[in-house]
Amino acid sequence: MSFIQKFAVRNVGRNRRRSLLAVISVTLSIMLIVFLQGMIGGFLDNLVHNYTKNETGHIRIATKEFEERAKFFPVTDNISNPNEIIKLIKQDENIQKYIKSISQRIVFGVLLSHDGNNKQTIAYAGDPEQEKELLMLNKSLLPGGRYIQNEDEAIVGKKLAEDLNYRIGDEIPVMTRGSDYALHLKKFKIVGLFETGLSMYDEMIFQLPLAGAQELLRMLGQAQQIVIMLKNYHNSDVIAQMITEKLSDYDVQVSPWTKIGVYANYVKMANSIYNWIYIVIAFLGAFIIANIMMMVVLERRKEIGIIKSMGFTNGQVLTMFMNEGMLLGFVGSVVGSLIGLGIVTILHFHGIDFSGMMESINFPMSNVIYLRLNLLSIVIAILLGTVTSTIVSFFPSRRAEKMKIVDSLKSV
Amino acid sequence: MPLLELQGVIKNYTKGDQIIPALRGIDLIIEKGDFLSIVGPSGSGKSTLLNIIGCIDTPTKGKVLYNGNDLTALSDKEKTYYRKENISFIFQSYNLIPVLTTRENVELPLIIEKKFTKKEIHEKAMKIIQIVGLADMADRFPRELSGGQEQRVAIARALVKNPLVVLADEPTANLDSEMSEDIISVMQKMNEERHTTFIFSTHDRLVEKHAKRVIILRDGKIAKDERKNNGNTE
Repeated sequence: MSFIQKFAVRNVGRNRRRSLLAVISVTLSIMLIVFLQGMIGGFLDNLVHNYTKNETGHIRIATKEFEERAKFFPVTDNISNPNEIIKLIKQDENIQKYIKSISQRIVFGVLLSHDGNNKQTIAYAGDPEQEKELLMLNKSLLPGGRYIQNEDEAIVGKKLAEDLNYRIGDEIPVMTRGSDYALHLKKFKIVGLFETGLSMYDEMIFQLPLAGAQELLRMLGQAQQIVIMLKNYHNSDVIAQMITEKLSDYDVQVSPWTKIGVYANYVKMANSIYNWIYIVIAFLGAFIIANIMMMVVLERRKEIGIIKSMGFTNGQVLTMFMNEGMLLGFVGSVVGSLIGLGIVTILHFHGIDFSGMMESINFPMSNVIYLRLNLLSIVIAILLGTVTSTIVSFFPSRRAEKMKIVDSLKSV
Repeated sequence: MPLLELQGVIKNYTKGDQIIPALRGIDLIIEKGDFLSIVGPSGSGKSTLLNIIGCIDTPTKGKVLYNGNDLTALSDKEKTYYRKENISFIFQSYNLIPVLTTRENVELPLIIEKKFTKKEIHEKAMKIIQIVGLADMADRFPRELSGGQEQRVAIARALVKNPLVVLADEPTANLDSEMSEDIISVMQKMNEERHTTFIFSTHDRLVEKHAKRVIILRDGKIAKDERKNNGNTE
């Protein structure tokens, strides 16, 4: 530790109550930042998790024609050889090690009618076993029902069933246009109702087995899309590029979730906005340091004169006071981060229940949000608190630097 | 060549529209090894004169030459260097740094100089602390010392870097006569042994008595410049 740093440490301990006040101010702001980072991270993770598992996967493989009209769920632009593509991907160890699951899926819109009620719905068809890792509707089944076992069975969202007056055991007549552009009808027996807590899914979707849907849509051996889930969704852009190169001979498009739909942009925008909010909070917390440092500089005018008369340069005076501000900021940031980390850790495992709020929100987010535990964000919060405290200390320190010795020595 | 030479130094302060003259034309030569006392009533310009010699204030007019170099022409950075290398101050109210111990206060000028190792700084500081008789108090903070002890620390701090000039503004003003005698004898010893030039501004008769040269300032002018020889006035 240099002499100036040692001097700064001693000076911070000079008026403990005042220093404590400064530290508490930074502690509170950094604690808030760490908590917000955890909560916003938790929200975004949850959004990404639900959005990708239900809609896009972390990576989606489909035909170019499908991607162009994806929002209409076309069943006419399909991958003709999905099993071959999946096999090829699974054979590549460099890609396979990043993959959690890979499965075929068909999603299509259908108008259901029952007891005189009509409702626009979306059918999700996939391999029932694979979908246990994706849609995971088997985990949200209500008592009295069971998961899909045969190709003519379906499970239906609870609100959708209520709207159309469906019960377990009823048959859903699904009539839609197939890949051959002709109308086809197939009945599926409801074997279970699910309630995910995501209103947009509970009132709009029902799940079918892939084989049943392929038969209905005349898509035997074909898939509308191949959905890949990764072990870490942050790698999706890189892995998508690797798969694109691998499938260069096939007429398909490989898209990471970040390039599909609007939610990826929401996530990017939210991250950017909240980063600015964190900086503003950090400055608000550090602002009290600026006030305290100003008091300190005025109180120690004479001392500034003495050390300058001894040969302390203006730069050394500036550094000394900025060191004091930085030290207060650093201590506050460390304490705030540790407290924040404690809160985030608890809520990472126990979660916060937003059931009441989520009911009316049509967004792919769960009722219970588990805060994101990220040690890097703790390091960033400590840096942010320390840097902002140092910056706000600059102006009082500059005042000390500019003081004339003769005036300083005259002060009482 | 004299150590210090003041040529027609004028210093005016302004208070609102009013100009207050502090020094009205000082011509003065100070030789190396002088033990000089500047006396005079309050407001006569004693402190201003010391501040100008110490380069912490600038004259309105005139020149201050140090070994023939004009101090008034120096930049702020050069003035800081001049102070660091040549000048030490002793203040009336001691002005020790409260968060530093006796030893650390004394070490401070050497740390600023950046010329010595940590070990050398420590040894030099302890040596001078011993000379001023405070070896037992080296690890005490200023609040744990008496006024006399604090002023001894201030003297040790001023002398530790072996400056050519020590500027002492009322160094005995807050001390009783016994303590003042003690402090003056320490400075006399340094003057004799190291030929350090001491320039005092004082009201204290005792300091005046021990000075080799006494300058009387009145209304910003030198009213009398008296050099003593073995206690006799020249």
